[in-house]
Amino acid sequence: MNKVRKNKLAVVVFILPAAFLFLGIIVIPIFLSGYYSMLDWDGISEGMFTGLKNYREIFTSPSIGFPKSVVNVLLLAFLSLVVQLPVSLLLAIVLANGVKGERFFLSVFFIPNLISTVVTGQLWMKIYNYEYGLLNLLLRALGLDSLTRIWLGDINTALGAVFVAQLWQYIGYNMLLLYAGIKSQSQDVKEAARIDGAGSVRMAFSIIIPQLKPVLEVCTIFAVVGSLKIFDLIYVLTDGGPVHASEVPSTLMVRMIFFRNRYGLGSAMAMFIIFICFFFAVLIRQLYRTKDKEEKHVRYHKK
Amino acid sequence: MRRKLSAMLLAVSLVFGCTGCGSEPNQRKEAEQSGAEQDGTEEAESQEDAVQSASDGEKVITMWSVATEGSATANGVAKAIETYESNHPGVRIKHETFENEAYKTKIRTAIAANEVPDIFFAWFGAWSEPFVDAEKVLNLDDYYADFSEEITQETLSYATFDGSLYGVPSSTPISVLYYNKALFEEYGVKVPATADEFLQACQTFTDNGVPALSTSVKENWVLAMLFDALQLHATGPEDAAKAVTRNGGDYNDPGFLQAAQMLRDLIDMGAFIEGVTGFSGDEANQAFIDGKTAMYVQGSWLAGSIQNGAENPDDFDLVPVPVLNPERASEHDFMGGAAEGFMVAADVEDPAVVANAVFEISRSISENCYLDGSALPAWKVNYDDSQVPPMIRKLAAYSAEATSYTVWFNVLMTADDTEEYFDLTDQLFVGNITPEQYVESLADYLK
Amino acid sequence: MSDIIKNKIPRFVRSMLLLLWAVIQLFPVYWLFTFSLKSNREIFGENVIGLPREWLWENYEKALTVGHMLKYFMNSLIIAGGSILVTTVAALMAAYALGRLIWKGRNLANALFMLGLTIPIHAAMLPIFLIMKNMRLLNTYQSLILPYAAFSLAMAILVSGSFLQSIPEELEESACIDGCGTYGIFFRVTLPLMKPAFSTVAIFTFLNAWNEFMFAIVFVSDSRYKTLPVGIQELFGQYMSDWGPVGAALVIATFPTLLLYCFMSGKIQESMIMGAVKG
Repeated sequence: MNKVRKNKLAVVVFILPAAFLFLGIIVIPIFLSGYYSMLDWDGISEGMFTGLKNYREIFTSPSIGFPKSVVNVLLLAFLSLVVQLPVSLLLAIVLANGVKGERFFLSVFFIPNLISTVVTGQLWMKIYNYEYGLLNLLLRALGLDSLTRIWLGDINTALGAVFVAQLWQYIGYNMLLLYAGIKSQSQDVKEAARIDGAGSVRMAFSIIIPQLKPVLEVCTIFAVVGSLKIFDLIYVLTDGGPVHASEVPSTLMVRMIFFRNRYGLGSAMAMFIIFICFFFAVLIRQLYRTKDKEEKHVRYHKK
Repeated sequence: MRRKLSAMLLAVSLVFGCTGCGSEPNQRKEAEQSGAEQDGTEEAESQEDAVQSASDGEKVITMWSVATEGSATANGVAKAIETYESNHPGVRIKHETFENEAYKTKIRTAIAANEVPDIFFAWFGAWSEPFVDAEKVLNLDDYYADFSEEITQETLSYATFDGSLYGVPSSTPISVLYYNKALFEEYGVKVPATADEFLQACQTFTDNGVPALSTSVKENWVLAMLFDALQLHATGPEDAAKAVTRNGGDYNDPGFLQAAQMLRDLIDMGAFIEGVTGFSGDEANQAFIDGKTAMYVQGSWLAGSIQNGAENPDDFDLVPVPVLNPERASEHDFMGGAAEGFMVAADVEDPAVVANAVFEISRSISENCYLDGSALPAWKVNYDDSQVPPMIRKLAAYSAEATSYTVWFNVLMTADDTEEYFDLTDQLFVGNITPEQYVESLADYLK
Repeated sequence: MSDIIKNKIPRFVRSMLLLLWAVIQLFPVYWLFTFSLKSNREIFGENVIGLPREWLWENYEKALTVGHMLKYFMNSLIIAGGSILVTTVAALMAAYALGRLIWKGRNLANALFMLGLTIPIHAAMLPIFLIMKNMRLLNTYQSLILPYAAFSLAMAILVSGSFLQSIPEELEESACIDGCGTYGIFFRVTLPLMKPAFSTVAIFTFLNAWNEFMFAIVFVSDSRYKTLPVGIQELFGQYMSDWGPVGAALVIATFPTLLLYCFMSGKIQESMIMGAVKG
């Protein structure tokens, strides 16, 4: 078996298509962005090499407000972790447990992902509109007029409003991944546990979730990295406003690169986004893996 | 630095050339096949040479614009191209349209990579200045003579960089104060001609629970339509332009403060319809067109939408934006001007033909769009315009009496300054900063 | 958690909650459909959620004729199909090499592939444009298929890798004893078991490719290769937009995917259950 697993040629053959795509479309652009980020460059004429000046500027210039945008995405990432993932997991477990209309719900819960951001953006604008928005209509109908807001235009609510829209969209995404994971788990263990009289909560925590680790890891990475990179929905709903209240690094980056003619500075932001996403992706991976190893270790000793 | 960059790119393409050679011929074939499938007669065209001669000697000129099917000007542009083609047998215009905001990204990327079409739509002034500076745009001075009778040098001022012409406009939009006649009659309000009357009108509407004004703060340029005009009418065309272009003027000027204060007063009064901070531009337009607000400052293009979209277009009318300081400005000083149009790529194969095409097509667009009521003409009107819809006629009359045009500040200012201007305006609007702080901050930035 | 719901609250409450959530998720579908038959006046304020007062079927006519939706639909289909093919082939193979084969630098490669999740597409725009230009691929289907596949790759490798972990290695070992080589094991034993991963990866790749907009507008300047999202944007105006036809175009773009998904979700489940039984 070892010989089969150590087949060098096979490694090359298997990895080549992915490596080729990856090198051309991901790695080279990252290197070029890294290079651009050290230029004072408008994206068109000749650039001037300025070293790390752009990086210094994005972190120190108060008028750009980059640090605040980073805080905003970290907040979004944290919220995704504590709200989006648990809800998705709950839904996945409930559905996989066998509910009447399981298939129907499974399809329906995924629908927001099938609809393009142009539609979801418009939809949420209609929900949040001050005058005829569904949210305010509902509040008024309940006699809670004092709670009505200009949801997307209020400094205090814009970021939260965007988060809710994002939550609504991505719950189905994670749910599908988790559901598929649960479904592919072996039924024998579950049967045995059921015969032992395990309740659903114990079943979920001691059997389903531990086995689900690889999928949970993937979902965690998607949720965190997805939040750190969030762009489309924010661009459509608030474009970072009002007064930068919902600004995130990618909206700032796009504005710098394409609207303020500061390609170099925008690239520095891009490099930071790449760095922070990579950092968290690897960190999450490491956390899951070390936990994994510890558990395997423990299990081994128990044997 | 340039050399280093290209060396790096060369390395990149080498890496690609090598690893890619296995699959490339295949992919090529695929492209040709799919091209042939889709378009039986046309050969798959090579992408490098924009102007090229097909086998039958037909010359193809590529052209990009934002006159998408959803734009009011789409028909005018399509007809102009048809006219050009029928006047010049053997030349074909390959016209592609893209959505406005996405186009800004597309054209910048294409220019940076030297992949521009022969003729491309551009915003003149500071937006396209970097392209001109980088010598990506064809100098049109030599080709203007044939058309100098039909389009004035003044009209071309925003397309002129360092004394040379680089672009050709087709329309001259201006911004005005649109108002809802029906609402004005209902509440017995006088159509405002002065700043005081304007404030008074806003106050009356607000007191009666009718929102006076619509705007969008999220899409900053919509708010800027109002705010630019107020500033112009408080400082006058020369001082305004000098101050915002870092051209010897000072933004720390009582006139700008007066305009900022007026905006603040309007907000404090509650003159704006609730929700404008979260409105998109379309939501702002619709609120006015549906008769929810009494007034709205917008560009001349709104007239067409009122004509097509309002339940009763006759309820609407327009006047110049009121003057804040009659000593420095008059109502004949308009915000607007021929600030957008077409440019020609510097490296076209046949500059004379393409330059002639850009003039002729722009001229036809000017006429077509004026006649169908979708834009104000930039070129002289030497044809019968009695059938033009009334609101556009009225706009054209104002435009004819204009003593000065000042183009929108976001065209005048560099891209970077514009963002700062919009940013501070946002802050002023939500009350983060006072009018005094606003003027000081922007003045500091523009120093 | 599910215990609380299952035992302490009666069963039908759980169903009600699920139904409520389903209604919330289904609402946009209803909303989009009615919106596609309305005028701006109804869409913006007068009649946001009700049925259209005037059923403007001409919105569809406009989307189909003026907006050339059918042509763009075909292009999107070709590009999404191509992306799925390239992504799944590359990802399943790479996941196997990363998860099962033993070689130096495997961990590093594993981490490096995650870089693909991190790069913001707007920053990659100019570099990829230059690469496409040098490869003479601008204005072809490949100019979109390759980036879409590359950007889906990291996700696809992660997903297939996590599925691979749940497939017992013993199966491969027994195949090895039966005399299968590396390729034989992969194609005959592992690949069939990775069907659920294939479906999941295909769905997510499809969605990325189907809705992506920025690459599509920048890399393609020839109407013959434009995709649906670009075509839909063409129904927007320069200063203001007539949203009815946009809605109609969005329905044309979205509803076939919805139907396809509803149809596929059954298949996906089946393949998952099959995988589970065999595993």
